[in-house]
Amino acid sequence: MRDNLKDFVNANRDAFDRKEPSADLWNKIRPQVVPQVEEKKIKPLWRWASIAAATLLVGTAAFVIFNQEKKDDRMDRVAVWKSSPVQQKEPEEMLRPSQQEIVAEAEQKESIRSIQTMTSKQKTHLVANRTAQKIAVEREEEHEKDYMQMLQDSVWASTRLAAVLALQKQGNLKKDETRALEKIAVSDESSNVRMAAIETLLDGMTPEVRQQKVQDFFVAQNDPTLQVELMQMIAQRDEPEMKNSTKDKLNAIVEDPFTLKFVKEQAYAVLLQQ
Amino acid sequence: MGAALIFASAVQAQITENAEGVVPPKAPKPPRAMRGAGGNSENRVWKEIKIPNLGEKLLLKFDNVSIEGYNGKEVVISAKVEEKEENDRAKGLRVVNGSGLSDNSGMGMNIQTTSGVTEVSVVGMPLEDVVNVRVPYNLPVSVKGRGGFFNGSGIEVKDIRAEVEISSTMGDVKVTNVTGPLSVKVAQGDVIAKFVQPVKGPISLIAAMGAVDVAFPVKFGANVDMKTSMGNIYAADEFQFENPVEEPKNSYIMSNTVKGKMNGGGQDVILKTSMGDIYIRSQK
Repeated sequence: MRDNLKDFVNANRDAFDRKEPSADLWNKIRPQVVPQVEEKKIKPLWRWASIAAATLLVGTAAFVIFNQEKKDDRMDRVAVWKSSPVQQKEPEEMLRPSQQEIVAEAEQKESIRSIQTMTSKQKTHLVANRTAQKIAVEREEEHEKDYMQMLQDSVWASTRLAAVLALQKQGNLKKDETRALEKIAVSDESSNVRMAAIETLLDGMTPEVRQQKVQDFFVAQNDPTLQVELMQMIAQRDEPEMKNSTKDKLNAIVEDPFTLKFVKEQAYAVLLQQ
Repeated sequence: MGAALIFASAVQAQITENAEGVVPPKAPKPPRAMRGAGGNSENRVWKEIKIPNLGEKLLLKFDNVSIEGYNGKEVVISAKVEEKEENDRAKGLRVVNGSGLSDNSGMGMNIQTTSGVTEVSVVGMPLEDVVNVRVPYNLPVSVKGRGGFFNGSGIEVKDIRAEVEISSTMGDVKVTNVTGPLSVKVAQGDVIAKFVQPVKGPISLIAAMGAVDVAFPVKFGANVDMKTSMGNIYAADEFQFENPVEEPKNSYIMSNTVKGKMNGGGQDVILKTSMGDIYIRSQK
């Protein structure tokens, strides 16, 4: 059977298709359906700028290094000149570098070489040795000052710790060093630094003095880590008696409800031992 | 020339920033708005903040924290906090505590920078879950636990190339891939440190009751000062000790001391525990 409607539609298909969606429609839908992808911004300028900057950097670095080398070169030459006046001048004058340099700079390099002798070389050697020793002593003093300064560093615990350990290695503490360390042993905010300071101070003490010091330090500590360490040292003492302040501190630790269990046990152990 | 140098360094900074943009930064461990699976933590969500005006050192004043260095410039703190104030009675009120600090971060923390040190402290009750902090890998970090007796559950630090300082009362302290200087002190808990890169001293790891467990690069040389009062010292074969200081002569002293050069000497290393063992492993 023929379907009249179908025929009709087929015949007039073009007429039915006249309502097309507008070309703009997809653009309206698109932002709702497809999430906006941020376009990658390519910054070619930066790449070029960075290359230019890098070149500049390398250039300046090279310039600076080259300049320095030149300077070094000049210094070397001055050093060579310095050796010349030795055999002409009195030894007192040798120690005056400014004068020496002025004279040296007035001399011609070639002539200097020709008049150099063994004795002059020996003399310069001597002078060089003496200055080297002087410099070494000065440096040592500087180091000591450095350690004292490092001990005052309030920001970096590692700096203070390094200074304490350096003093420990150096040994033979001076008065001001001992004083500074004692302050640190009691009041430094880092337990690690306090511990190192205490150990440094105890190093090389006789057992009796050491024990007194240990008890003094113990009374001043509120950190359980150090308390336990020091209590163990107190437990190792030879004489049975303890300072009263130490006993008070131990009792305070035992009575404090917030004391950690193992700290309390250690305190009991020390108290019972006497 | 100075201007040129300044320009150059500025451009370089830009380059590193660009480079950072190319490699997508590692996603923070917790998803930003993941709801807790647990029953009673349903009303808590991960919150993330960036610290403005960062100083040259970061000081965290709480326990239970995991810190990780990354190639970036900002300190990002993410913590699981109450989504909204459930406490009707506290409506319109602010949390006040003895320190006089106020919550200026929106997540129960006070953040302030004074003389170059950025200090972060918890205002009110400490958070129940671990706080994750991501920091620029070259930023010195210091953690001072509040000494929580009930919820101290450890401090973790990873991937930092600057000074790290940790002090805590309870809980384990784990430090991984840090260059040093490093100082750790914990009263009750283990100290576990793994050094992967060349180490810069001084290193000072102290536990009162707990083990000190440290791994160094194979050929690491140090001036060591090790002491355990009730425990053993264990070391891997790679580490040899020269002229250690002789032990105290009194036989009743239980302490075990090794002081001297390890592998020819080098950086200063202090490892101590009052009750526990000391382990020195080689990091392969």
